[in-house]
Amino acid sequence: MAKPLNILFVHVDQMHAGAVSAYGNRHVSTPAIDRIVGDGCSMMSQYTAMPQCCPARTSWYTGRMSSESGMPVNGCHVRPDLPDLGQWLRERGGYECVYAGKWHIPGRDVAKSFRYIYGSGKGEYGDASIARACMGFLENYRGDKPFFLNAGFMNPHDCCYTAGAAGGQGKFRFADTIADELPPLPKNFRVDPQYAARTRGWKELDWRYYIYTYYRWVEMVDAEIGRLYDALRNSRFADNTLVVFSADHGDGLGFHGKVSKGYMEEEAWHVPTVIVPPGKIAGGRREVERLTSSVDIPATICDYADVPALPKTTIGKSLRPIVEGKDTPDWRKYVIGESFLGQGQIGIFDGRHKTILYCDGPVKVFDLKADPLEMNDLSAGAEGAAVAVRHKRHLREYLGRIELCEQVDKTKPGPFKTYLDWYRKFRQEA
Amino acid sequence: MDRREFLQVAAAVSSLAGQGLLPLLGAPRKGGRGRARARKGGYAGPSNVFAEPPAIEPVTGYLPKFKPVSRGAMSGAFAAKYTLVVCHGSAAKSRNSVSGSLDVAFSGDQCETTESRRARPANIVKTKLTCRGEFNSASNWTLESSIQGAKDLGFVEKGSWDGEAMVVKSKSWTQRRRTENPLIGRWALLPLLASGKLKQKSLTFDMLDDSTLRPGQLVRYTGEVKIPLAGGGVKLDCYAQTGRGVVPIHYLIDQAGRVQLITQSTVNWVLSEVKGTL
Repeated sequence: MAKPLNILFVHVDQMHAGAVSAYGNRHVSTPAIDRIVGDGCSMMSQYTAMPQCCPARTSWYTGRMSSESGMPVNGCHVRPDLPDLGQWLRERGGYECVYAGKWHIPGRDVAKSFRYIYGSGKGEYGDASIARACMGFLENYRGDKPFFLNAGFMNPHDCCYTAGAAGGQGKFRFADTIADELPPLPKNFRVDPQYAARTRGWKELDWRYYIYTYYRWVEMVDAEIGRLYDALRNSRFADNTLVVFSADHGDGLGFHGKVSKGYMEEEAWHVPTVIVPPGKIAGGRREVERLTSSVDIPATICDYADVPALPKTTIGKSLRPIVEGKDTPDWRKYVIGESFLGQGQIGIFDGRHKTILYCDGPVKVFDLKADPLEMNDLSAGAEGAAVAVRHKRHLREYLGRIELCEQVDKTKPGPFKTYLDWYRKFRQEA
Repeated sequence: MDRREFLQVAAAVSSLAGQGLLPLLGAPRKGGRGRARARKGGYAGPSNVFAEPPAIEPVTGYLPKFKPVSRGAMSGAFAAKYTLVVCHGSAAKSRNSVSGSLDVAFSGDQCETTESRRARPANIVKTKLTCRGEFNSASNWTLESSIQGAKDLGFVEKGSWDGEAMVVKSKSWTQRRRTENPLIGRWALLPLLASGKLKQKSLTFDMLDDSTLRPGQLVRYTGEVKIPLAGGGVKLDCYAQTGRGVVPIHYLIDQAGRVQLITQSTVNWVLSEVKGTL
C-alpha cells in the first residue's frame, strides 16, 4: 500500500495573477514562486470563486461557491453543516492537520479544525513568523500520520493599507526620490471618477508608487515562501509531499484605474495557482486552455489525499489529471465567479469570451484572446450580444447545479438578498 | 536656516499641524477627523494624507510619546534596545501600538540580536552574526527560532557567506542562495549608519534579514529632517533604503550617531536605550 501523501498548501492574499517574474513580469522578482512554477504545473486560467478574502478562503476549505457557503461577502458566517478540509482530512484520511497564518473564515474556529500553530497579523509583521512556524514543524515532525500543513501568508495584502482602506498612508511623498525606479502605469489605466474614493486625487506618481510598493510586498512574501519551500524540498518529506500554491484573489494594481478587489475584471478575479506533485516534478508545465476555479483546490487535495471529495461538491474538480498530463474530455467549458459586494456581479469566462453581468442590468462582454486587458466592451454589437446570450445560458446551467444557501445571515442580509433575488429571477426567466 | 531646511521644516510643521499632531495644536477637532467624516458614499476614510517628511509617516501617531535617547553611542561595543511600533493604518495620523522589542549588542566583530513579536503565540528569534571588513559583511551566523509554548516548532540554523553565495543549514535542510553584492546583516548596518560614512557614498548590498536574503539593496543619504516632538523639534539625518523585498526603509539618526527611528510601513523601530560600553 502506498504511503499517504503529505500536503503543503501555501496561500497568499491579494496577489495579482501576473505578479510573478516567471510569467514575464519584469517589475517584480519572485525567485521562490518561480522555483515552484518551474517544478510544478501552473494553472494559467485559474479564477477565484469570489474575489474577496472570506468567500474565497471559504471556497478553498469547503469546496463551495460563495452563494452556497453562507459567505457571500466578508464578515458573514460559514454554514455550520459544511465540513472543512481540516476536519475532513483528519476524519477521513487520518491526517495531522496543521495551520499557520491567515484563516479568515468567520463562523469556523480554525483551532478546532487544525492544530493552529501561529496566528496572523499584517504581512510585514507576521509572514516571516508564519514561515518559521511551518519550518519548525517540518524540522521536528516525527508523527506517523501524513500531514496537511497550511501556510496562510498575508502579503501582498499589506497593499490595502497603502491604498487607503485604512487611511491611505504609505510614504507616497517618497515617490519623488525614486521616480525613475517606479513601474509604468498599466496600458488599460484610466481614471474612473466613479470608482474608489480611496484613490481620489492620486496623481500618476502616486499610482506608480502604489504599484512599486505592491511588487515589494510580493517580493517580501516570496522570500518567506522560498524559505518554507526550500525547507520542504530539502527535507525527508520532499518526495512524498504535494505542494499547492494559490492566492485568494487578485488586486487592481492600477489596471482599469483600480486597486483592491471584489469585482470581476481580470486583475481581481484571475489568480495564480501552481500544483507541484510529489516526487515526479511537473517540469514547469503551464495549463492555459483548461479553465480552473478555486473550488478545484479542495477537490485536488482530497484526490491526492485519497479521501472522498468534500460532500456535495457541486462545481469543483480535481486538477490531478491536468497536473499529470492526462486528457480530460469532460472538462468544464466555462468558469463562473460571483461577487455580491454592492450591486453584485457575475463573471463568466469560456476561454475566449468573458461576460460580466451586473445585478442592476448592465452587461459587459470582452474577447480576452484579442483584448486581454478588457479595453473594448463588445456588448453593444452582435458578437457581444450573442456571447451574452450564451453565457446567460451557462449561468442558468450553473444555477441548476449549485446548492444555494438560503439561510440568510441576519447580521449581514444584504448580499444574501442580492443573490437570492437575482438568481430567483434568472431561474424564472429560464 | 537655509532655504532647503526652511522648506523641509515648514512642510513637516504644516503637515503635522494639519493633522493635529503638534502638541499645541493637538486638541481633537469638533466633529472628528475632518475629511474622514465629510466624505459621502462607499468609503468613509479620509483622503490620502501625505505626511512630510515621508520618513515619519508610519509613526506620526507615536511621535508625541517619543523622547529621543540622549545617552550612549553606537560605536565600538554597544548595546541598544528598540521598541517595535506597529502601524495599524491611519486616518489623519497613524494608529500605532507597541508590539514587540529588539535587543542588539555589538562587541568586536560579533552582533547579537533578540527579537520578540507579540503575536499569539510569540515568535522569538535570536541571532549571532560574525562580521568582517569595513562594511560589516556577514561571515557566519546562527539563528534560533522558537514559538512560545511549542517546543516542536523551534529550530536552529547555521549560516555562512563565502562572498558569492550564502548557505543556511538546519538539522533537516540546506538552503543556498547566490548573492549579487556584499551580504550585510540588517542590524549590522547600525554602526555603519552611526559612523556617518554612508553620508558621502551610498551603499549597495544584499541584506541578510534573519536568514532571509533580500538582494539588491541601496541605502543613501537623503538629507536632514527636523521632526517636531512634544519636547521641541529634533534635527535628524535621514537615510533611505530601497531594494527587492523591502518597502522603503528610513533611518533617522541624531548628531551623535544614534539611530533613533527606523520606519518601514507596518513594522517600525524606536530607540529606547543605548549603552555605549559593554
